[in-house]
Amino acid sequence: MASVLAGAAEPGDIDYFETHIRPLLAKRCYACHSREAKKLKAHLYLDSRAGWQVGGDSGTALVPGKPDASLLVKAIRYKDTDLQMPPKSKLPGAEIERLVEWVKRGAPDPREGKVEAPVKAEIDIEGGRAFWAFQGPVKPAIPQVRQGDWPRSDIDRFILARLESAGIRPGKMADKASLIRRVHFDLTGLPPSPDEIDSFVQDDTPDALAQRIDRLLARPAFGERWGRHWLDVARYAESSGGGRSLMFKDAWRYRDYVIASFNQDKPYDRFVKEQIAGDLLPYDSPAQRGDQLCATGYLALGPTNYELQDKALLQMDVVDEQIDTIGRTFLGLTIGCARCHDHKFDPIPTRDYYAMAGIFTSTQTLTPGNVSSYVMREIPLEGEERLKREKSEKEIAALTAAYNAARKKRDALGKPAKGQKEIGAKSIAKAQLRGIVIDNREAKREGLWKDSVHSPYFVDDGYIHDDHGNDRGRNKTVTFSPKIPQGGMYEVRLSYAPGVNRPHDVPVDIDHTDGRTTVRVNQSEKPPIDDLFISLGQFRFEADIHATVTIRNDCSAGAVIADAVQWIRVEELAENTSSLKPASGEKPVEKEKPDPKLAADNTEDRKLLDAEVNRLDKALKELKKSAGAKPGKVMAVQDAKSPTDGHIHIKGGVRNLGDKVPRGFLRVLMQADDRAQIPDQHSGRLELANWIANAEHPLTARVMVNRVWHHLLGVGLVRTPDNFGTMGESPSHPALLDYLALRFSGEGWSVKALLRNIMLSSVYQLSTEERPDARRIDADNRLLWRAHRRRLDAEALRDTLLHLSGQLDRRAGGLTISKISEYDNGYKHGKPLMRSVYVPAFRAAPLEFLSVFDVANPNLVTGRRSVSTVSTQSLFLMNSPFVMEQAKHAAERLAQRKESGHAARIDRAYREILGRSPTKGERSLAEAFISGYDQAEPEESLTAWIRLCHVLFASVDFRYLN
Amino acid sequence: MLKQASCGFGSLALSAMMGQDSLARSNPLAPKETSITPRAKRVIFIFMQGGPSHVDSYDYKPRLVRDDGKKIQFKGVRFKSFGKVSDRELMKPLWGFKQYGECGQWVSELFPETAQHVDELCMIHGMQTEGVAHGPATLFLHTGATNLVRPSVGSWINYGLGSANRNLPGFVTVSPTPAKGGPRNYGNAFLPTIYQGTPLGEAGLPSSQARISHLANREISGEEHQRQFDFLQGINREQLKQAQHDDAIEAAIESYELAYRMQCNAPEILDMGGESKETLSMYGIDQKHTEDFGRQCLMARRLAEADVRYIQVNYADHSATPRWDQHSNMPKHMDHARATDKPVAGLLADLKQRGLLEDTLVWWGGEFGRTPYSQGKNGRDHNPRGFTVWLAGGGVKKGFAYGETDDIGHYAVRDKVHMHDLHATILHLLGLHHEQLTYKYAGRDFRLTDVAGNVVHEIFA
Repeated sequence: MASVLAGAAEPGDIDYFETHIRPLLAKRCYACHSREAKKLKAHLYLDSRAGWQVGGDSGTALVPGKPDASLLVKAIRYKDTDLQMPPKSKLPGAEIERLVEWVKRGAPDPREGKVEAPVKAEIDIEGGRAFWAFQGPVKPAIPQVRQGDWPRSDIDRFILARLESAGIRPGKMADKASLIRRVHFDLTGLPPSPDEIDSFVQDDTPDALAQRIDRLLARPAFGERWGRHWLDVARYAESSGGGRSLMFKDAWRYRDYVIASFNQDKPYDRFVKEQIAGDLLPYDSPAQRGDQLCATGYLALGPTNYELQDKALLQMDVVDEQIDTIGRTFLGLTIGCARCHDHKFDPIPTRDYYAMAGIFTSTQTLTPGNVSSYVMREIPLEGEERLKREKSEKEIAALTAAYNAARKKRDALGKPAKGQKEIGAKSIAKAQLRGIVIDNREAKREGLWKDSVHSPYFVDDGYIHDDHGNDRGRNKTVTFSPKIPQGGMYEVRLSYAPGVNRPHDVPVDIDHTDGRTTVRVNQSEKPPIDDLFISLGQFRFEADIHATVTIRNDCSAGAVIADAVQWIRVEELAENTSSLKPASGEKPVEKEKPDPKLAADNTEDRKLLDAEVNRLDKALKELKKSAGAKPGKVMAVQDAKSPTDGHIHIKGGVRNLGDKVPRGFLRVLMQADDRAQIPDQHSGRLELANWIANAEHPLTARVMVNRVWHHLLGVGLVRTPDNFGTMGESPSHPALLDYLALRFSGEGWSVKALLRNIMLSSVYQLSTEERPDARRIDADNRLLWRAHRRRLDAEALRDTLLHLSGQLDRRAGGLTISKISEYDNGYKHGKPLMRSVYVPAFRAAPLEFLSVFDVANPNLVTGRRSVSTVSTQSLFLMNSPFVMEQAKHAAERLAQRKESGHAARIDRAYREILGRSPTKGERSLAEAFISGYDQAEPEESLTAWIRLCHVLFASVDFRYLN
Repeated sequence: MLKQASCGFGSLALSAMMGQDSLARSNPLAPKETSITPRAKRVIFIFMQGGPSHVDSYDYKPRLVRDDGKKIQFKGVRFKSFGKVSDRELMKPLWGFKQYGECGQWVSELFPETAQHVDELCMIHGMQTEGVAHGPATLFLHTGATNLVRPSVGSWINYGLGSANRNLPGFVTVSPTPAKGGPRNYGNAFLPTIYQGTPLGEAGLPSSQARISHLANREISGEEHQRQFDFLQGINREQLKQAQHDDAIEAAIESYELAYRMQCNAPEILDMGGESKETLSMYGIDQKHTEDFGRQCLMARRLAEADVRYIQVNYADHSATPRWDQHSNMPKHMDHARATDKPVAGLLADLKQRGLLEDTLVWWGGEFGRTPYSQGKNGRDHNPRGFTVWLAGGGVKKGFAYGETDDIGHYAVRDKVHMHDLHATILHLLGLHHEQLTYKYAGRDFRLTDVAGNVVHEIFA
């Protein structure tokens, strides 16, 4: 046996090493794998024997004597695309042979030198727990303040104490008109009317503000506003983005669930649990069950590139996205960093990441396919609806069985004689065909397709045509998708009833194991096989997948026909190429030659059976019509059948597995002796939800109160609302953050109560007034000596424009996608008038207005939107037809009012649009502008007011909240 | 006349009032110093969507001719066939190859016009990328990530270099595809919005209609527009006064000024009315099959002249099967070659004659190449493991070829250049160090090249 020890090696072997191997390793490998390496790669040393014995991240590099079992040999052979060394170019053949020969000889290697097994510095979790954010909130003492008449709440005492110790006195209170505008926008995303402003300004009762806040909290617009804030952190969208941007046509159920949750003031801990594990929570009613299923849409609607071909990588990408999103949304932590290596900054080791990953690999989010998809679950029906549905489902099943039996019996009689004007004369029954056949009745249609039996020949009851592209134009499809029971080569055949008006170039996509092939079929020619089918080619299909063939109608003019598609195993075609079963023997044409004997024998039977089939068919259709609502479906997740722990993926490589880790949570956020208790048969999602939605959790309540603070005050107490880790910012008022968090979790997690507390405090009601003395001490206004001037976000801006023009459609919720199709690419929004939160949120086709004004990127968790000032916004406000149209409507409304004289009308326009009267300077500019138009002509006069409204919409004050 | 009237400078006083300081502060596009001496100032990327076949165009493999129809074993990279070995038939190139120029590089009959410029080209034959399907590979090409959301190359470059002009956006993409990642291919992801690409038109629409959105007002023009703009800025200044000179409001007012300048300058840049007949013909704008892409290429030159930093032209469409994607009908490659060859050659010649090729890096390529074996009767499948792109101008070697695929053109085997490497190399040519061009987001630094990328110094002139 060859020994690895130099002393025991044949002298010739050492020579071999010295002559051929040492120089080769030095030349080809040392740059990255030696002590001299600028940057050691994969922790692997090849400059000593111990180096390859110990190995790097992937373990021992060589098995002496066994080249085929050696990683190093595998790498230099360049056969495995995941492992190729040297990375840039394959070694010359001779060098590969020498290295293989050396390993065969037992890898004799005289080079001494020790290598410490790559000890990775273990993350100090215990030490990490000392960081403020990883320690639970502590109830702070309410600070004493000197200026005792300023605070309206304990919140104010925390604020004032910091200001006093910095030597800054708090600024003026906002005037009542500005304040009420602020309150309305903050709670509803819409401005107060001039009357609503006046009534507040004139109301001197002490609880005027509290009453107004309560009224606004009760408006549905509240949920639309605050639901939208949540949708930002849930990276909500109605399509997948990525390559083929799949439409999520049921995502709106999650959106409406979020809006309703805010309107109901659902306790936040409950809200959290439902989104992570709603499908696993108990329920009292089917409605609650449905709601909780919708909530898990949160996990499913991320940006996923479903067509990624490496499905192992796809799964881990999805899991990674889920973990990272949960981390940011609920905990303000960037856990995703730990996918490839221990977190560089926060005490989150890769082991903890894969402990969480195990929970999500034990959760099913994807369905398999060449282009994968998401999981849909049924929303249970309720009460009467449910009973009705259950009853009719049973009836449908019974009737379907009777119908099938009758048809079978009739078909067994064979085809009727030629000349009879029956549908059957032109068709051939599916039962007579070989292989797998999918008829158009079983196919999925996109767009309007019409039934027909006009032209021979077709399979079963009829074929469908695209009505010459009417209705949807040239983007209709019919998709045939059978499950392939046995893998192998298949010939795919298409049947279409030919005709002179058919296009010559109907595109048919065949999705098979090796990709997609598109064949163009001339439907004006008679099909060559049995006058019924044409071959689309031979393709490979794996067992148990859904193969798909799609007929499209984006071709030249003419009626596109879809009838049936047939799959026949290639080996079964060797002796018989017909599409028909040998038993049925003949082509449909021949079939129609009258067989007097047969015809005579069964004409009566046939008539009876035909009548029976027709009767049953009709009854079935009726029944289906009256069967009551079908249960809705919703994007959701579900626990995998057999949950298992996962492995660490070394450097994030999906096929580079390290240790197995039990499912669990982040240890730095747990007590040292605490451990996740996840039963074997659970994915661990429920346990994770309970761990997060817990008053004891150091981060959950803090992160949420900070989000609310951010939206109300313009800047969070922690200015990085999605990052509370060591790379985030520290809180400006740590004690206040803890006070708010403890109060929030201690008083039933009510978001509305939290909002109310903050808004009734003095700090919320400060004016935006600038003060040089305070600026010198605290230029960033971190201590809140004044209110931050805030910009209206995209939704508030758009909704307000529509509101002021009287065009806003206040219908709420439901499906708002006007044309459902498979992908969102190229979706035309048209001119939607609903509130922005209901405008379909497509990743690849966002509404232009929203993307121009910094809507949250739906691919990322966004607790704080970027606020940009770019000229595309200016161009949009100056020139877009949308803004001009709203200006026109607003001016028309203005003209309908009876204000007399320019001055009064200018004043009205200002009060409507900006919520205040014009300043002296503004008034004179406006009057001069209006006088520039010819007043004699009423038409001209309207133009002047349209332009004025347009300018006010474009003016900076319209976009800012004072 | 009207245009001049409406573009008279309405608010001269404003810039003076605001002072240069606040302008610099509020302008994140101000040109920035680079750590490396730049060899190129701007990039024109000619995107060939769908995966043009390298073995039929620039990567000549005599063995494919010899062994046409022969079966070889091939390891699957697709869903379900992943890692499985199966027999596939080699297919010879459908077009003949010839050597061109002094350098004697091989180019097929697909690109006879571009072939005339082969002495200017730097071929990279050992390209590799990530993603087997169009979506992931297209996103990888543009953002360095198949699935995760990252800023696009052009956004990174604008972030790193700032803009050399004050009247136009710094990153423009002409007729981009709404499919295969769509806006993400020119998106800023987590970088500030100002670095996002500005699309001109959209794939599927004629490039003659490609323009910046809302650049012109369809209702108001001339003097009235000017009056309205002056009124708006007057009101804005009043409001600025009330707000005691808030930086953000100043920036908003400045953005109106830039918008106004764009309104005046951009139409002129996109207006080809002043181009000579010879120039139009050089780009093939006078012929039906080359007119559309020719217009895109000429627009690229005009944008380059106006110092736009990153210009992408797209030979793309919006269908599920992108243009160069010939799974079942390779002869169709000829249509695409015919539509693009002359315009690309025209662009190279025009840049050269105007001295722009010196500091403009031209990059031609798709998201991957195609397989040397056949798919169906006469198609080819995607091949991300070995393919060709070429560069020209901007500090790269001329008449040069770097890297190699194996003898059938399947795998890159020598001097491989991964897409990350190409990104690193392009940044380097512009003076940016790909490991230093970082942006802090969600608590960590991000780069275009993630944790990879090697600069290919060997191709620098």
